[in-house]
Amino acid sequence: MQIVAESFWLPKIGHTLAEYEDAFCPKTKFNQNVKLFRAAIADGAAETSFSKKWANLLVQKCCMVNDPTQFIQELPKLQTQWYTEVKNQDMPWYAQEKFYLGAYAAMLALKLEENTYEVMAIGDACLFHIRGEHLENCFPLTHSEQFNDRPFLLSSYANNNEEIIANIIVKSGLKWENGDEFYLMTDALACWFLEAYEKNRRPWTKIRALKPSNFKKFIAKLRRTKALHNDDVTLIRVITK
Amino acid sequence: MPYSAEISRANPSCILFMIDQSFSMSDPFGGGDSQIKKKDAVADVINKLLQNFVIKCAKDEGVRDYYYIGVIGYGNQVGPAFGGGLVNREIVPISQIAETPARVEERVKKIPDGAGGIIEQSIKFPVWFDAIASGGTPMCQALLFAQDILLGWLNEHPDCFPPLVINITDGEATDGNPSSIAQNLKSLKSSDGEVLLFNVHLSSYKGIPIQFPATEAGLPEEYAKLLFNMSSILPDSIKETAAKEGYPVSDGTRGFVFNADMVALINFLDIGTRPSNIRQTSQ
Repeated sequence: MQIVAESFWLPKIGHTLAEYEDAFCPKTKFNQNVKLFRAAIADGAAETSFSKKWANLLVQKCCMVNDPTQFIQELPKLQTQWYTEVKNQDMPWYAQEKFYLGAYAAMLALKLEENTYEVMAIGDACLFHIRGEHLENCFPLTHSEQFNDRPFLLSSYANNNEEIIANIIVKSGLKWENGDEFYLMTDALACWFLEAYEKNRRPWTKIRALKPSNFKKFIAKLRRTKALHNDDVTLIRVITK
Repeated sequence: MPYSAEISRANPSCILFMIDQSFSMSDPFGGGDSQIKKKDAVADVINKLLQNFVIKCAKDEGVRDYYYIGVIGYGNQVGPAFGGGLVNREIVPISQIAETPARVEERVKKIPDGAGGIIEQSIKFPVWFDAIASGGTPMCQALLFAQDILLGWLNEHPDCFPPLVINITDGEATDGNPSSIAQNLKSLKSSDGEVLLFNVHLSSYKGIPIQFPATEAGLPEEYAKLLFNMSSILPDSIKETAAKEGYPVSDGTRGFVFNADMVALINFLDIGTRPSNIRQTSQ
């Protein structure tokens, strides 16, 4: 299968590039004939610290494991890695307190094989499966009203994940056809996409038209018109051929 | 929709604390034979609030100035109450509050061990204010002082999330009835809504702590009722978040607590995604 995947990202207005707290994989444009393709995005929670590091660890692991079971088995190692790397920093009192609260992130992973795909999701990052002029599937949220600023997210501390691990949403064996497209989006853009879809505005036409050269302008316009919540934005657009 | 302005470094909001440092604060707190005095409870409440506001705004690289903070003391005199490097400052960016506690104590706290367990460890605990109890209770003057500060703030930040005034007191004003002055303070506004006045009532009455009530029924004394009626009704945006945090709220719910702290309020203020499964560690 021929896969063309491209990622687009921007920090929220008023934040520097270094303050962007989403993460994504693959990092560079992908255009190859493969039997297996993986992509993932994660969205570090704004009210927690060291969440960019946590989001990066999550997407890297998602793009390496075979299935959700293996991901969950590997999670304690990721948590230990995050803990060790952060703890070794010299921290003032407030950073130390934030460290004890842990980092949190929403996460979405896509695994694409010949004819079928699998999705794993925690939180409010969303996958959209487009076929021609139809939204075939969206996941895990299906309506714009489901977004809020208090999602359940994956924590860097195991104690905070007891309910989360049991509720990781996985869908396997879903069918796709040549020419189908998959969009992975963090919450702000996903919410816009669903709102536009609910108003019959075929938002995939906007996503198809995106290039690295016009993405910033596209997002700026959505923010200016209040169609998009001011938040970090990440999109991976996957096109099958 | 009012009370929906984004709180950011480019559009910060303001929190003004008013702390009662009058002689009556040397009375026992919570009634009975309590060894804790109201002045100790005030110091505890203000230090916890400042600590938690700083933690809310802390990120990997430091503390982001989402809020500017002022603390007005009222007792022997009315005026800015910060000491040390912040003496005489009326409004201070929260990053400076974080960097300049009066002292940092060591306390034992239960923290995650990184492997799924909890351990006890000595941690740094900042203290900005110590207990003070001296003079009368010029609450009316303090409210007027707050009004002056906020007039200047709103002039410079006309589109900010409305400033929040948190008055920590036993309610026994000695310079008149503060109700009408409080009403004037609450009528100041930004383009996003009117100033909010919340009250933390620390009483000598023995009674169960009450947080964010919707009526004055059940409040055990006249000062509690006075402060309840002075307090702003929670705006819808804050009320919705409070409900998500598990607090029972209704149309009349006010920013008032009786013999309790108000740290929960900090979680009602929105500066971005806050995970539902985040857990505060115990101290």
